[in-house]
Amino acid sequence: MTESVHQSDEPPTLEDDLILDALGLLDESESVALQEALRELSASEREEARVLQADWAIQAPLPSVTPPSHLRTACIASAARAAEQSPEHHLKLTLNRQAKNHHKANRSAAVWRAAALAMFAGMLAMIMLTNQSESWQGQQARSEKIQRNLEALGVSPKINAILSNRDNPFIQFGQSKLGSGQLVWNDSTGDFVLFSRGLPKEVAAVQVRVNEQVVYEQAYLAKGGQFQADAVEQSSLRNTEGQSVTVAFLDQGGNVVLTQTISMA
Amino acid sequence: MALSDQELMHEVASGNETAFGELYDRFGKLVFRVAWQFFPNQSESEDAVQEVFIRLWRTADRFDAERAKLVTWVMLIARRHMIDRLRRKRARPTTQDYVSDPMGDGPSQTEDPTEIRAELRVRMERLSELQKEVVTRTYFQGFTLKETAEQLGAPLGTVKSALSRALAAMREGPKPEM
Repeated sequence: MTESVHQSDEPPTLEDDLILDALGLLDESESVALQEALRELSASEREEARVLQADWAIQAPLPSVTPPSHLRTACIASAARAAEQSPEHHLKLTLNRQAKNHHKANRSAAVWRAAALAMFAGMLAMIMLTNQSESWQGQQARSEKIQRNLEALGVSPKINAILSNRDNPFIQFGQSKLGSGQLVWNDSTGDFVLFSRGLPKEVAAVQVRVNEQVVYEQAYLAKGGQFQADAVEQSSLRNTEGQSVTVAFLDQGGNVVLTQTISMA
Repeated sequence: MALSDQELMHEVASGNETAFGELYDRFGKLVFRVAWQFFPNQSESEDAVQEVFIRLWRTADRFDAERAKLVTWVMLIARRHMIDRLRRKRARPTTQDYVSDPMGDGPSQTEDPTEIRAELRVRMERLSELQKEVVTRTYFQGFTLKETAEQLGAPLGTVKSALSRALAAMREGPKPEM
């Protein structure tokens, strides 16, 4: 292979770079460098480059397949769900790795509630999942909004009941020797909060899915910003109604380092 | 009257569902084809397309029509997303997967899948060994140009030029429908 490489050693032209950029094949820094190079060109040359890139974007060698008709509706619904969850167009994530306590699986609901609040106050690891939007006009309005959000997420009545029951305001995820977490109903804000603790150092991202739809995905940026990976794989535990909630913590390479499964406390 | 690229993305950024639908109408098919290239099965391609459109919505306010046409922007976002997804999955399909054995249900085909595979095979056959290798690694397997250059022990510039010229040669075949 190496032999053939050196048989056709030609430097790339600006056109080569434009084509590769149009197809998303340049990395970020190369793409920025190309943009800078384009700024040196005349307006007409830049327009020519723009047209070339558009032509390549349209006419790239791609399989001739047609999307199913339901995909349009699914895309719009997905975006609507994402908008519901993220009114500011950005999901929030704050994780704090100062946690040292480890919870026990058989604690009572009250203890868990207190533990969750303590973890919240201590910022062990917090991920805001949904809807921190407009002002809440009293308890009733909040309840209605929560209900709408749950519906938008496709959360089953069973999970809904767990989440919205103040006496049982959390879903506990199975413990692991590597760490643990709980999906908690934060009654004061009306948000879901994912707490985690005892995470291995390599954790770089987290992903939550409801009914196989990613409802939350966020890189975990630790102090120093060395973690940049996106969340990935998942493991799901289906409830009796065929719904599922899934959480996974991942390392920088996208490997699952801790997969949480749902259990009812 | 149809919205310009910039107007459309402005509307999408502001959460206009109709505009979002129009964005899908313009580019849904293209994005699906990109998704199918990376994930040749129905459900995964559909998931990937939905993720791309959410990403497009989230980045809509960053689109600048002065710098690129919208189709270029969409393609860029789509391919980068597919590559990210592929890497996260850590199960890089080979060209062989694509050419010989697509998994799962077929999409709503406009062409016989065997014809698609045969066509691609023919197009690839026209390429030099280097070009085939570079296309396979970068275009189908999601390796970066730098990674490919390192794997092949070749200068980055060589890989770039080989790839762009290979793609140009492949494009010479029957043009895919939009």
